[in-house]
Amino acid sequence: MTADDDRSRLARALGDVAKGDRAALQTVYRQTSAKLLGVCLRILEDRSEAEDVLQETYITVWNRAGAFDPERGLSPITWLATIARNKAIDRLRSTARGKSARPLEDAVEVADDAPPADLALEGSQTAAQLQRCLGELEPKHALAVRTAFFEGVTYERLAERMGAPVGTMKSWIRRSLQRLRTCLEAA
Amino acid sequence: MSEEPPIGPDEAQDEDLFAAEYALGVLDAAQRAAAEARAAADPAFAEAVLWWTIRFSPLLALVPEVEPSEALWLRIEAATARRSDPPIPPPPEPANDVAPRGLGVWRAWAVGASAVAAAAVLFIGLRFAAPGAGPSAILPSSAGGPTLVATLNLKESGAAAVTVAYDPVRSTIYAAPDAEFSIPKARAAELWLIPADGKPRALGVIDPAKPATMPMPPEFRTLARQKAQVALSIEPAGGSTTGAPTGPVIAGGAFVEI
Repeated sequence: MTADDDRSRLARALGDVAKGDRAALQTVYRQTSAKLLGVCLRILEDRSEAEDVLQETYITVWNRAGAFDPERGLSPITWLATIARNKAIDRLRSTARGKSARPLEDAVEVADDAPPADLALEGSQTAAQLQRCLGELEPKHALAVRTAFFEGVTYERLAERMGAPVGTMKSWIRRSLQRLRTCLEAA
Repeated sequence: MSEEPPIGPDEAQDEDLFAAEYALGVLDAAQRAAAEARAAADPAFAEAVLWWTIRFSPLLALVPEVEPSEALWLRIEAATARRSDPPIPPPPEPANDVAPRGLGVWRAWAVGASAVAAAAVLFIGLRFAAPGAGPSAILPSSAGGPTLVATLNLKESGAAAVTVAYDPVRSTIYAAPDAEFSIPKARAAELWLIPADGKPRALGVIDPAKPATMPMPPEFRTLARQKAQVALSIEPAGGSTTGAPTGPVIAGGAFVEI
């Protein structure tokens, strides 16, 4: 099955969920929950918390699937993952605890090991652009951007993790975001 | 050059940077609340967040999948059967009892403007887009000074209890309870503005189950801009009758400009 098939099937299922079709909710869940749990777990590092966030996410989807609008340029899986990711980040911020000092190599490994074909949630063109534009950043800065995205951590925590002053981290990330903007717009 | 990020930057480029920082996920809790409030108020900002969300999305493919436990689907099935069967049909309409003032304006925003759809699409389930509150039109665009936002955290757990926004254009206070927030039965939760002089001013009683709007008393408008705090106390049903909090203050937070 192609990514396009997945995408349109998921979009149709969300349309059915919006009409109150519970079987469709289960279809959406079966197709997406493993990806969404991966995203939440990466941020929260605690399985039961991550599953709580996942539960909230699908309840939100059940109540508000009608808000999904394929015309906005978001794929269904990105829409779902963004809802889950935002809820996970909010959960992380609301708990005072810090994250464990996991070695940063994780972020490198995940980013470098995945085959390019997997970079295709929003279509290969978007993925290729991002890959190219991240590649134009200084490696250390690109690592900071990727880590921030995967872990959902604040500037302060990111600075601790990478052993850099907060001000330096802010300037790395902001400069990177500006360069990414220019590069992605030119694409 | 200062290290601290401007929360309410003037230039379009800084606006876009703030949107990018939100989409990337590096903002702290107060800044996230501010960004979400801004997205609800400002379609251009919501569009910028959407743009960045799409551009970053290929990274999601790199996160390894993890199968949830079998019990999770059963929990979701039970929760969706209990809470809302059938689900709220689209498009969402603001509930009459939530927004007695300015409803027409909000509804016009909600149905007429495709430009605000980015906020509706992206911010569902978050505090400024609670079901029934008109997700894309909660805060109209500001032209009378910056909007103020406070995230009230519970004293006990530190969890977010309520997000409060003051919209100076409509002189309205908007309060959106978060999921963690509950109060004892037959009691009321009352919001207080605590300006620099430390003297609490009553803003109104809120329902922990749904977002609410209330008028901002004109005499409080300047006070709110003087490093004011917002607090939530437990009061007898109907609210305090003494003009000051009588029960425990369970949550609080500072107003920040966005």
